[in-house]
Amino acid sequence: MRLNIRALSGSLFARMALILFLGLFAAQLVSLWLQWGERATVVSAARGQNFVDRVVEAVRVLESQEPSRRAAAMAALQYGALRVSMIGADQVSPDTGRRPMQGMINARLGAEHEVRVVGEAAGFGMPQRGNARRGVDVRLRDGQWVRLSFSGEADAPALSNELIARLAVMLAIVMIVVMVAVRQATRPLQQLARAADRFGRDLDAAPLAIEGPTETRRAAEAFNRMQERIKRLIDERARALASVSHDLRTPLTRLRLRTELVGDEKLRDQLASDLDAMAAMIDVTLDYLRGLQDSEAVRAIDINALLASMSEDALVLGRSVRVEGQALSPYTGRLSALRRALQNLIDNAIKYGAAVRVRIVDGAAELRISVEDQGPGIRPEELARVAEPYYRTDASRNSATGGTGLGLSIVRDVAFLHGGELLLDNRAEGGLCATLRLPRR
Amino acid sequence: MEKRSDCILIVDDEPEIRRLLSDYLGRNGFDAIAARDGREMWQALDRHVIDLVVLDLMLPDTDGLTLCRDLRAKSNMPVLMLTARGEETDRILGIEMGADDYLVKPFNPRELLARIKSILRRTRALPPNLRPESARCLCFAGWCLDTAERLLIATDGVATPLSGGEYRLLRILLDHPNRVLNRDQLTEMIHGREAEAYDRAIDVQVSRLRQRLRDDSREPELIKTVRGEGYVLAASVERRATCA
Repeated sequence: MRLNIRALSGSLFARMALILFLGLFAAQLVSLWLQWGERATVVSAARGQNFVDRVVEAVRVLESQEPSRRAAAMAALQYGALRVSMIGADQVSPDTGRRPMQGMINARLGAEHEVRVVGEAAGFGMPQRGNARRGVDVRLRDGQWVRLSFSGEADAPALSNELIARLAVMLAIVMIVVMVAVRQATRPLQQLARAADRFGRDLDAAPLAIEGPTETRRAAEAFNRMQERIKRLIDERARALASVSHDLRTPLTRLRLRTELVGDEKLRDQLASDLDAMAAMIDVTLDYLRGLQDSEAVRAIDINALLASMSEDALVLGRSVRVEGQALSPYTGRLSALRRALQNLIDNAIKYGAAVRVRIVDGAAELRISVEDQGPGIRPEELARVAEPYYRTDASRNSATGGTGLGLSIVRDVAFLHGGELLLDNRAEGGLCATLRLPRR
Repeated sequence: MEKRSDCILIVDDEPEIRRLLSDYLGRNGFDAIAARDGREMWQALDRHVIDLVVLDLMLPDTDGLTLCRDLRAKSNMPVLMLTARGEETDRILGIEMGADDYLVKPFNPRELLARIKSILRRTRALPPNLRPESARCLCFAGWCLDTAERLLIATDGVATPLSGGEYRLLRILLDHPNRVLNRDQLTEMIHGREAEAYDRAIDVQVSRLRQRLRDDSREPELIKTVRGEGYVLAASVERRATCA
């Protein structure tokens, strides 16, 4: 799971999506904040208006009543947040000068009503925070002061759940659109990566389609040109080497026939074995070159039968190759390439370590074929390099068995061709273990 | 009366190879005649009684493949192709054009001798009218044997590679369907030697082959044991140009 998240956050798609998501989220927050402020202003203004209405109403009612009946009227007026009380002249708030609220009340009641704002009641229309009270002292026509105030004025009401839900849905919809757009924008990159991968395995892979936005088209064109150049280079090199190797065949055939004329049996055998070695080098060189441009068709192969047949063919030559384990189902690959790779591994194992064991380990994801010998193995510092073309270990260079230094390169190329790899390891018990790892697709 | 030596016709455009090969075959009990190209080959075939043609693939004017096909259209003449390794398609084509066998240059001359003898033995083991016409694919009981690639293909397309021994045995059985072949005959045709007393090599081969063909060895249905006689392939064989 952790791997998954890492892989996800590493992808360009995830990064772009995340950046866009965070940007959108921040924009939503800012707009929410602005809306909140605006709303508080409107609410406060409405409350102020309401307060003025109530004050005007109360003053008119009280003035229309006999002083003796004002107590009852006051009780009737005190609904909602409005509190009304008679105050003495000594309790009246000091004059703080003209305030908007005074103006509004005077405009409705007439200028003869003196209005004073109580305490630090904020200005009209300003957002009210906390339980700030609104209050005014008004002098009735008969000189009686009345204090009218809104008690416990609350904050602007909280945002409703519905609004938040609406915002969330909007965010989600925009997010989906963004994901689709980003996916669309990064797709050409993925196609490019896939094409590069395919080209690594198959030189004859079809060129990329030239489509999409300008940048994508240009990248695809550049990629196709590169593919073309690499292919031409490899083809030319292969052709040159192949023709040299090929041309050696005729003189070698003549030489091989002439050796049969040599009377000295020992000398004849030596000549023959030298010529065989030269022929084998040509074969392996051509095999290697062909391996690079292998266009062999892919087919389902009975791996068990393949290894059994190779083991039996080795037995005819007096060599023992034991096969352990089984492939559980046919493997889809290139038969003669695989046969060549396995033959090289088995030949190597026979050359360097007498007893050869082939182990097949099969699974849903990959097929592993290990060839183990009991030879001296390969020095650890050389393990990484032995599969390089024309690289030969000291042991191989000095031995009479020779070799071209291409055997393992062919195996590695065949493994790559199948999307797998060649793993080389010295066994704890001694000897080399060469594993062909072949993913099942 | 002295037995007539088998006569081999060598077709190769390289004069030294023609000369050396003729000498070599001559020293090993064959009569050898050499031809430089297709025209000379046809002339030689008209003038001499030829038992087998060793045909090089790369020839001026008409190439070896075409010559092989034309030769096969006219006669049952056994043909051994000399090819260059690396031209896999040439090899396959050679078999499709009807060559009996092929050898890669540079070859071991002794191997050439062994192959020539083996082809002659094989073609003579069958009466001439039974000589199977060449075809790349031999299909039987849901299987196809691809003689060019030397592998067995199941109905579901899965390729089953065969060892040299398995292939030779199956090839012989397919050339003689529904005919009982005894151990001596099989050993002779496969190994070119007589079966020794208590020789179990053929039985081991047969049981391997049954395994490849998923034929139950206790109650085989394809390769049946005829007690005291030998083995028989109980299936009809159809010859096809391709295995697809």
